Amino acid sequence: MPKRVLIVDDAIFMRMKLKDILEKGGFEVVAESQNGMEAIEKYKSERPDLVTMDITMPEMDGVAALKEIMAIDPNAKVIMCSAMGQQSMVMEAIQSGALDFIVKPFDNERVIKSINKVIG
Amino acid sequence: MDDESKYRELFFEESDEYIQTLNDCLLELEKNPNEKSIIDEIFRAAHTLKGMAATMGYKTMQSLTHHMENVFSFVKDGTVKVSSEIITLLFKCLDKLLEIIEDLRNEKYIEYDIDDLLKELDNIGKKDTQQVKKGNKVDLTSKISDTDLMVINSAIDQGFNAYNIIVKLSEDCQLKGARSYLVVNRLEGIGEIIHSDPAPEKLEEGEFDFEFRLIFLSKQSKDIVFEKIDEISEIDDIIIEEIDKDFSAGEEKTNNNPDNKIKKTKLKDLGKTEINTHNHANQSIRVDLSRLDHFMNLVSELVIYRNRLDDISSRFEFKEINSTLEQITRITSDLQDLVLKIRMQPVSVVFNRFPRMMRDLSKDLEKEFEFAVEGEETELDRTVISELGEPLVHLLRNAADHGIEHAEDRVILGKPKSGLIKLTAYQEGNKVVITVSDDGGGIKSENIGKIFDQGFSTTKEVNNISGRGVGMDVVKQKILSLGGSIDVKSEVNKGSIFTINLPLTLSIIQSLMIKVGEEIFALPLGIIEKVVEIENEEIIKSHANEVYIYRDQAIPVIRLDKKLSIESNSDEKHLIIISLGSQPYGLLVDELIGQQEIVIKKLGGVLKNVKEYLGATILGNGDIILILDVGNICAEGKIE
Repeated sequence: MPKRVLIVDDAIFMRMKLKDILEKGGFEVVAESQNGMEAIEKYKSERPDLVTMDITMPEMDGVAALKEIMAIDPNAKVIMCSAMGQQSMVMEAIQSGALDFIVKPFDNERVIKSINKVIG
Repeated sequence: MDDESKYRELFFEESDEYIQTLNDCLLELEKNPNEKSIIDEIFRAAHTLKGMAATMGYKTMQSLTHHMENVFSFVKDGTVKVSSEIITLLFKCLDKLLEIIEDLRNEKYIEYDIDDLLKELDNIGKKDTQQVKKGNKVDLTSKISDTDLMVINSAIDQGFNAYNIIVKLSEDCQLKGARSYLVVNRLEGIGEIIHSDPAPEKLEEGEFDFEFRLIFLSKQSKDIVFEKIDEISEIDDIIIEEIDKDFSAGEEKTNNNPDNKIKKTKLKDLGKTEINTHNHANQSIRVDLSRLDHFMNLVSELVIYRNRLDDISSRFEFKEINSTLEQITRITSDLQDLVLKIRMQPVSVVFNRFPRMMRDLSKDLEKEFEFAVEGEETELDRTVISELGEPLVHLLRNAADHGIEHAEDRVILGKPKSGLIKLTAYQEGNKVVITVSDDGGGIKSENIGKIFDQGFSTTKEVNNISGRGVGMDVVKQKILSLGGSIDVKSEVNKGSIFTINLPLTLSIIQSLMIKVGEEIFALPLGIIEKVVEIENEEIIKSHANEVYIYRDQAIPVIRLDKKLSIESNSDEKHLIIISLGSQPYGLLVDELIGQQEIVIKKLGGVLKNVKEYLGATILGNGDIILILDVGNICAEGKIE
C-alpha cells in the first residue's frame, strides 16, 4: 500500500507541484490543506503517514500547526517545507519534532529522498 | 524535467493575486506603518511569490522578490522603519514584477536590468546583511581538550560510550545550519554532545564547509547512533569512531549505504474516528472562461426555445402543457439568474488598482487629496468589468489633474487643504451606478455641454496625465458601447460628479419591440425614458434638423424609417424618448409591439461592422429580430 501523505501549503501552485513529485515517487496524496488550521483538521481525519508542512502560511503558520499535530500525535511524521532564509523557523520546527525539512525550490529527487528517509 | 507548462496558468493566476495583495498591503502599510498583521501578510505574499518563481525557474523574478522579502523581513523585525521612500521603492519593484510577469505570460523571455533596484533594496537593510565568512575550515585533527577528556573518562566509567562523529553534508545541501541542527537535535534525544567543531553557534549559522565534528556521549550502541543520523536526508557521509579510555580509538568508517536500514516505528492506525472537517468558507473552483461563456450561450438558447414553446402553446391552446410550461419558465429563469450571477464579478477587480494610481498621481502632480472608494463589492458582468478600467482611469486622472486644486489655492478658497476624490458604485434596479466625484474646481457651465465632444480640452498645457482633449469622448463612446450612459454635474469651485449607469449584464436584456414599416426591431428598454404618441405637426423643423419640444427643450428627432431606409406609410407615429447622458433624443417609429426579454446574439462576420445594430435575437416564433444600437444611431443623428 502506498504511503499516505498530507500536503500543507498556502499556494495551490506549490501544492500541485509537490503532489506531482510525490505521486511520481509512488506516494498517495490523501489530502491538501492551505493553512495550519486546516492541516490540523485534515491530520485528525486522515491520519496520514507523513505531512509536508509549509512554514509561512496565513491563519496559522506551519510551525504552530506542527506543534498542534505533535500534541495530537507524538508519532506524527512531519517534514517542513522551507525557503532559504528561514533557518530560525526551521530550527524551531526541528525542536518541536519535525523530522526533516526540504528547501524550495523543490528538487524532485531530493524531496523523494528526504521522504524515504523519514517513512521509508 | 517536469512539463512546466501545465503549471503556468495557475502560476500566473496566483501571482496576480499575490501582487494584488502586495499592492493593497503596501498602501495600507504606508498609512499604518506599525501594523504587524499587514507586515506579516506582505511578508507572506512576497515569500510565496519568491517560492513560486523559483520553482518555475524564473530567475529574475525570484531574485527581485527575494530582495524585496529581505526588506520586508527587516521591517518585520523592526530593524528598518517604514518610510515613504521605502514604499515608493517597493512600488517600483512591484511595477517591475508586473512587467516581468506580463512578459512571461506572453512567453517573452527578456533579460531585465534589475541591478539598480536590487542595489536600492539592499541599501535599505545594509547594516543587517549577514556576513557569511567563507573558508572556515573544520579542523579534523584538532585534539580533544583536557576538560573534555576528563568528562569523557568519567562518562565511560559510568557506562557511557563516547563517540567521535564526523558528519559530511551533501554539497548541494541548503540551510546547512538547520541541517546540522537536525543532527544535533536527533542526537540529543539519545545522549549528550559535549563538544562540537565548529562551535555550536557557528554550526547553527551554517558557517562551515560541509563537514562538522561532534563528540557525543551515549549509552546507545554505535549502530543506533548511526541509524539516528542516517534518518536525516542530504547527508553524504557519516563517520563514527568510538573513543576508548586510552584514546586508541578503533576507527571505523561507515558509509552511508542503503543496507543500513532504518527501523520504522509504525504509525498507530487510530482510524477515522474524528468528525469530518467542517466546510471552509471559500470553497471555490476556477473555471475556464470559455466554458462559462458556452454555458451562458446554452442557457440563452434555452430561453429562446422556452419563448417559442410559450408562443406555440398560446396559439394552439394546449391546456395540458401549460402547468409544465410554467415550471420550465420558472426553472429557466432561475437558471438564467444563476448563470448571470456566476458571470458577476465585484467591481473591486478594477477598483483595486486605483488607490495605487491615485497615490502616484498625488505625488506626480504635487497635489494633496484623499481617495475614497465605496461599494467595491457591487457586482457587474465580467465583460462589462473588463471594459470599465480604461474609462474610469480617465475620469480619475481628470479629477486629480483638472479637478483638485493645489493646496495653496484651496486654502485661499476656504476649502480644506486636502482634496477628496471619491469613487462609488452601487446597484439600482437592474443597473449599476458608478460615480467619480471630486471637490475641486468644477467645470464652467459653458464647458459642461462640450465636455464629451471630441477634441475638447480646458487645459492649455498638455502633460502626461491629461489635457490632450482626447479622452472624454472616448470615455463616453466606451460607456455607450457597454449599453450604459454617462452624465456630469458640476459647480464651479465646489467640484464635479460624473455618473455612469451600466446594465447589470449584456447578454439578456429587457427590450421594447417596435415596428417600422413591415420590419420589427428591438430596443434596449434601459435607455428609454418615455414613449409619446405624436402628431406630425408636433415635429418642428429647425434649420436642417427636425426637433420635438420635450420638457421645454428642443430635442433632435430621428426618423427610423429614413435612417434605416425602410418604406413606411403609417400616419400614426410614436416618438421614443431616449436619454443618453444629458442629451435626450426622439426616435420616430410606427408601432409599439410590446416589452420582451430577449437574448442578445452578437452579429458575426461581415455584419459585425454594421453600426446600427447591437446584435440580433430569436423570437418565440423563430423570427430573427435585429436589436438597434441606439447609442450609435443617435450619435449619428446628431451630426446630420
